[in-house]
Amino acid sequence: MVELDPTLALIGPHGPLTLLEAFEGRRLLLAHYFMWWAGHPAAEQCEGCTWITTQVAELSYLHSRDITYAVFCQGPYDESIRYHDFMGWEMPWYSAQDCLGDLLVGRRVGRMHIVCYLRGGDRVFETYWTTLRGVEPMDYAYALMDLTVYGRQEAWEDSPPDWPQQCSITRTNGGSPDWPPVSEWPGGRPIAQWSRLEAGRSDDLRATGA
Amino acid sequence: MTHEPNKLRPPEADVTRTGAVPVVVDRVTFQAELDALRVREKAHTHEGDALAAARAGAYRWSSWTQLSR
Repeated sequence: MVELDPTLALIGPHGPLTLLEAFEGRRLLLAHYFMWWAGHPAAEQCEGCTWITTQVAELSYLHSRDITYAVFCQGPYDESIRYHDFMGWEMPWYSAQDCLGDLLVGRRVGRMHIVCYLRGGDRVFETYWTTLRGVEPMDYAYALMDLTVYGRQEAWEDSPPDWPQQCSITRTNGGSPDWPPVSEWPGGRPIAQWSRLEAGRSDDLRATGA
Repeated sequence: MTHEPNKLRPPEADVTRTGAVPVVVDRVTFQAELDALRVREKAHTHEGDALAAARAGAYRWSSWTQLSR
């Protein structure tokens, strides 16, 4: 493991806080580095990060093992917390935008990452990180799809001809019941947004709510 | 958020001396260890894909062919 500066500054609901404070007193911290398109509307935000984050709903199991789960968004706090609220997520959400160079040193800033931290008193250590398909432990949808006859129904899979493989990406042009596939990014929306819109939630990420 | 400390948690005075934590190394050494692990992780991911394909594809290729006739 590698020691980090525990005072690296995040932005949270009450303003600046340190990496150490993000542990919430627990011994372990698992941070998901959420990709963010600054200034873009909700529909254009990351479908993959949205896909996996929506599935992280129950944190008590992690808490019972002294693990804090938090999102370290790679964009501004104000617009991204509105996205968190639009989606109805409940996990701690911080902006790590100002210290990504330190937190993700040697890695591609902007890409999705899971990074695991350990706290000893006031000292903070990084014990593990992963990216790309390494973040699939957050997902159960793909894992369950893999058990069904048609799998993930994505084009890259090795399936017989004529089997459903229309889903190339984790966004669609509409919701239930048709989920029309998207031909080009950033068409459509991340899939889990449709039910939020149907429920009447605002997807406006701007301060004025215009 | 308040948090009730876990009673099983070891003393924290100097976590690097408890023996219950990994060795502290520099970033280059840490990354070299992770790189080695990554090779196995990727193989693990691809084996999962192959298993899913075997489950939903290869095995049922034959079933599908029979059903189609």
